[in-house]
Amino acid sequence: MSLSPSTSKMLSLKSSDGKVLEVEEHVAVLCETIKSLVEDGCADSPIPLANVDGATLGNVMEWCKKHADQKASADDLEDWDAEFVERDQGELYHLIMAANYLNIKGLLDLICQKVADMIKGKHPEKIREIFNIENDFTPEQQEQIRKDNSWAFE
Amino acid sequence: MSEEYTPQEVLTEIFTRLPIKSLLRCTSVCKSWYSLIKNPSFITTHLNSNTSPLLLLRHCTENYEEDRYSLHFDNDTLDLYSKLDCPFKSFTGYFKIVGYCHGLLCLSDCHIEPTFLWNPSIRVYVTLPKPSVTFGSHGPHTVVLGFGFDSLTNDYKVVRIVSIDSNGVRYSQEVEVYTLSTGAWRGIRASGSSVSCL
Repeated sequence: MSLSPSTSKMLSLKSSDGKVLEVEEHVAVLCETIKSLVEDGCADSPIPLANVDGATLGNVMEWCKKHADQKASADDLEDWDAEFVERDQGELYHLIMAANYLNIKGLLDLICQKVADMIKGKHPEKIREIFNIENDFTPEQQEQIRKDNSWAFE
Repeated sequence: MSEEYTPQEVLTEIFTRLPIKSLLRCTSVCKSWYSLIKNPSFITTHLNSNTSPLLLLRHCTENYEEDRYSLHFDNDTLDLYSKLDCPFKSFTGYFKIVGYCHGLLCLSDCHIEPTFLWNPSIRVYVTLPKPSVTFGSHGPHTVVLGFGFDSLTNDYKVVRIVSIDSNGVRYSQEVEVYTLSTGAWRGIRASGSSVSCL
């Protein structure tokens, strides 16, 4: 089996909403989940990816394609990644879930770092607002947590 | 991140990349974040992640009046991360650093009690209770302290070896171990020959 881009085999990936994406094998195997299927010889028919919608799958494969490109320099990839993560919170959420499901360490690291940077330095109220999280503490519990670590909330 | 269920392993990946101050703030976001961040297994993961290790510096003034602590970035210029308010004051000027392990610092005020365990990152400390072998109970003695992590019980321990002057001729030894999870000292029998105290 050759992994050179010109002769690479194509794989069909089927998203949760039924969209089929044709992707070169050397790109798709950046997903460990797909790589295992290929290695086990189970990748003939369109591979059903029940947890990834079509739009997200497109974004994930765009990232994989860039990172499978042998000609891309480390600096080039860094700049490209920085632009890639400039997305709204909803898209980031779907990307992080897909990267986790498809087991793509590089992409998961990238998005997790982006989300961590969004959390850093922000107060809990702002974090809840950004991530649309409901506060399920009672006011008393909330007060106690703040009191226990008051310096962190200054 | 709450549009749907966010798996714990994903949250762990994100939280591992956060500094302590942000993590403490995150504990008050919602209950599931609180329990994940306070979970001992996450704490171990975060401790081992080494994303941005900080250095603890101690500044001592010449006249034994002040003991100052601060956290610094591990870079060429040792940039200041934050100053720390030492939550206790030494009677003798300086604390003796008994040991350092997993971000916990064991400080002792020379041979005068008490001894402290301090976690400067989260600014929490524990004052160790009075041990049972003291000047009042056993007369003149010398003390050696040791601090470490017991990986078998996943616990932090302070060992206190006391050599007691009996009639100025022979030394008898008493050994006590403080365990962080129980918060108490217990005496142990030293088997075999006496422990040499350097």
